[in-house]
Amino acid sequence: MNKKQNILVLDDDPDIGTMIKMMLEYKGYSVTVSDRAEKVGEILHDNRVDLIIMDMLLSGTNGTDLCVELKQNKSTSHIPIMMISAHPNAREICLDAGADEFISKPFDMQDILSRIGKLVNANN
Amino acid sequence: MRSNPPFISGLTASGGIELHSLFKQAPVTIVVYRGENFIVEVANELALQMWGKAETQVLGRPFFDISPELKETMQPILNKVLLTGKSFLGKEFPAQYVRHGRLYNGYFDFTYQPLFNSTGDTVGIIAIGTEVTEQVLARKKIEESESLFRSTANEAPLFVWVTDEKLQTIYLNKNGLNYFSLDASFDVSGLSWKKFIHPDDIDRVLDIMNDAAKKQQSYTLEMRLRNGLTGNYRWFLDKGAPRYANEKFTGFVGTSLDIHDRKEAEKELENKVRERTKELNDQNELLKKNINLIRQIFDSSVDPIVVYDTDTRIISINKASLNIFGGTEQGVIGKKLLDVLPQLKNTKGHKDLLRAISGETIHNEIYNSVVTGRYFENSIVPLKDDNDKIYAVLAVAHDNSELISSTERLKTKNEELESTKSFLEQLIDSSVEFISVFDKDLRVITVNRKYEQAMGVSRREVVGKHLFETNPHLKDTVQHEGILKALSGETVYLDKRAAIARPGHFVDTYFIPMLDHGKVEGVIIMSRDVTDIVKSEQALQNKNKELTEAQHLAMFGSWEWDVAKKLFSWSDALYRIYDIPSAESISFEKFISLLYPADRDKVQQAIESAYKSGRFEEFFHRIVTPSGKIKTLHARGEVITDEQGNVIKMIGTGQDVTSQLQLVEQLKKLSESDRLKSDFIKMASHELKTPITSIKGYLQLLLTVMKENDKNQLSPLLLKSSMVSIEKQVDKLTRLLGELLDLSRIESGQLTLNVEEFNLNELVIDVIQDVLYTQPKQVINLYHDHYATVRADKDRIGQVIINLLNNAIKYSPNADKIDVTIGQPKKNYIAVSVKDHGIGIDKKNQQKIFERFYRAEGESEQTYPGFGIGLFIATEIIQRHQGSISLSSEKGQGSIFTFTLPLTNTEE
Repeated sequence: MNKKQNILVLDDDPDIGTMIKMMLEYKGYSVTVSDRAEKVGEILHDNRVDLIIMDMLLSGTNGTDLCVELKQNKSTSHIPIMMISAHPNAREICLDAGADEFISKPFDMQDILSRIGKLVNANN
Repeated sequence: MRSNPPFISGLTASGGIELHSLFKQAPVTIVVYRGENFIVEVANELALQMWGKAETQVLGRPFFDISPELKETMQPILNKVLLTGKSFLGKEFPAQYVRHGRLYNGYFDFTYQPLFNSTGDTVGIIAIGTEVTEQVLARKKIEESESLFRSTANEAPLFVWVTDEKLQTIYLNKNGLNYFSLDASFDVSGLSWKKFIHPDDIDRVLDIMNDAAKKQQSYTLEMRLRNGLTGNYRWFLDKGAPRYANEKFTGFVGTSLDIHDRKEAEKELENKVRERTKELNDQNELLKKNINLIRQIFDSSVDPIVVYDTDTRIISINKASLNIFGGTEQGVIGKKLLDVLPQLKNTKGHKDLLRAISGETIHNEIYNSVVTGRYFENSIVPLKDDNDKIYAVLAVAHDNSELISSTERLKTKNEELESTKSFLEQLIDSSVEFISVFDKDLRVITVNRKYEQAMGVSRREVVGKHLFETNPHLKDTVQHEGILKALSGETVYLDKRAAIARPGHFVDTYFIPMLDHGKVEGVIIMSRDVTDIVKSEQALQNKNKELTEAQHLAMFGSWEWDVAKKLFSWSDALYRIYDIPSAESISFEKFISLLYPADRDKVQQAIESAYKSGRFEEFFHRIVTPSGKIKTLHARGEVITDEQGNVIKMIGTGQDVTSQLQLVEQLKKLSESDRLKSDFIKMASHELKTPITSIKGYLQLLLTVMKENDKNQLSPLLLKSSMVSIEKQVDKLTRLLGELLDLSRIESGQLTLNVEEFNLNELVIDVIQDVLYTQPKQVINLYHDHYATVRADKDRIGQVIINLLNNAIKYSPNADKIDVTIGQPKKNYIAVSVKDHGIGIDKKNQQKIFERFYRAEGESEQTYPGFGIGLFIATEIIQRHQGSISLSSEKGQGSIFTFTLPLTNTEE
């Protein structure tokens, strides 16, 4: 039995964050939610994170910039990143930024869970 | 006094023979006189000689009996000697004596010594004389010659001078002294020559004199001496000869002769000679030239010229003659005429020659030359010498043959002229122009064929008739004027006139005065039918009118810029576009003044660059009409160059595109609004998706749980929290939809305000309470600095406050407190400010956040995160209330959002 996988959820809307957390916890993941991009570094430093789910828009920062940064940083580049957005053209933008996965809002619960599962398992 | 026996005899008695001989033959005269009567007691040979007497004649006789002539002079002297007993010495006494039978004048030095007796009384005199005649004479001679010399010297026109061996002057004669303005008593030994010599001559003079002194030779030199009176220098010829005394050089004696005049005269002469020589040379040259000229004339003359002597011998002959005579100059010179040309015997030419030799001048007698067969005019002139004797004849013959044939040629020329005349007539006839020629009375001289045809007359009919007979319609017309002007000598041109005689036709006419030796003898009228040209010009004009109309309709004007004349020509349509009256042309400056000021530079540059590059780049520019209307014109053009590439003109069009631009603006707006609409839709859908995602998420989660945990009850906690969340999201959704709706209303200008009076402070309290209900942990402080009632849409203002509060909460990550203040920033306004201590807003974003959600250009379609449309709507609402909304913030320091509303009244 694997150690519980830890997922970091970043969204500037706390409601979305909460909702995803509930969803994922139900599924047995350990979830940390943050609505601040600045906190990411801290969280990643302190915890093992197996997946980052990130909204493309975060207040104060471009989600894509953060994605690029994480992917370039050797200590974090191994962590798969899934990006979500309601923006119609976001998919291309996010994947170009280095995101491993993209899902648009509103999403289907099964859909997101299966994608998450693939990403997390692949990492293992 | 009778005294003792002479002591001489005493001497003689006891002296001896020797003494006696000595006495007798002494070279001096010795005479002893005794007593007061001076009785000659003794006299020696010489004395006797001097007297010219024998001893016996003198002894015992008184001296003055012997020489009575001496009594007067000598007696007192002798007496004195006797008396005083003192000797007397007489020098150079003149004495006459006889020697060798001749009478001499001599000179003697005498001593008269007193003779003393034993008691010391004088008893006699012994006179001893020495002949010094020679010396005296010599000296006298010298003196004479000296005085002669002096007087001669003084008389001489020269200076006479003497120097010592040091070349210092010791004597200068009167003339010299005069010349130098020196007093006769002047001591010349102190005189310095050099003062008087011309400075340029000094060195030379000294050299010569020193040299001569060294060599002890004579010298001659020329120098200039300054006249003491005038100060002018004059030339002198100086000659010096060495002087000796006892064979020792003692200096020079010399003369200085004033040769100044001579020298001047010499110079003058030299000049004259030089001039004369030049004159002679010039004359010589001239003479040579003349001779050459004459020679050339002689030689180049085509006329045979021969000079014969009185024997018909050829003295001189020119080339032309030689050609006829044949042979060389050497071959004929000196030969008689008939020897050279025997065929001339008894011919007129020969006879004429003989006549001339006899003195007759032959002129212009034409004869046929036997030698050449040509005709000659003969001139033979006898040449006479100074004694009027004929020594030669000059024969000039002129070949006259030409004259004879020239008459023939003249005949030929006339014939040619006739044919030329008829040729010209034919030319005139064939001309396309109507030509009619009139005399000065305006009577027809001739008309050409074209004229005949056009006027339907024949030449015969009109020749001689008056102009107004044949063309009565011309009377008092401008053509008539033209004719009259032509008659006064002026050429007149009338173009494109209607031909009166032929309606429907147009002509160009020339009225040309016919001049003969400067006088007007008639008029030529030349007309050309230009009907076609005129008609096509008219057609062109019409076409232009049409074009102008078309331009006007199209609001299209055309222009032309003539580079050389610097003139702008515009079509009427262009003037109309600019709304200024049409003119002949318009200046560049005027054109610039019609442009919209901000566009002037651009237009000038565009024109300049077109000029330089040869290509006219079309451009737009605004103009201002006199009434102030601004129009936009589209300018197009073309640069026209000549073969060398120089710009001669620019042509182009200007089209009024103001209305098109307006359409474009409208279209832009439409597309803008279309774009906005699509932006709006994009944005709206994005916004809505967020709460929907939450709702969906929760619902799906619940369904999944319920499905998967069929047996178990759904955890009530999970259920409740999910429901609560869902409700929250629905509220959010509702709110969002409301904002979107508002946005739509704002866009379409349909946002209506329901204005009522209410207390603002109360509203703020209510709103804060609502917010706190959903965010219980939030700390919101409220400060009522002022109480106010406002007239506004209560719900909308509430919306604004909620929006600000929500934003403040959202951007305070640490749940910091929020301060709300109601205050009065200025009179008649109430302000509500919401202060948070959150992350603050970058200066560069502070403007952006009030704008619509989506950025228009530059960035990709990423929404600026966070503020949504709420702030935009809030701004719109406040502005609709005549209020304002502002932000004060610094990144990391939190933000203060403030909105103001105008007041109706206040309450404290």
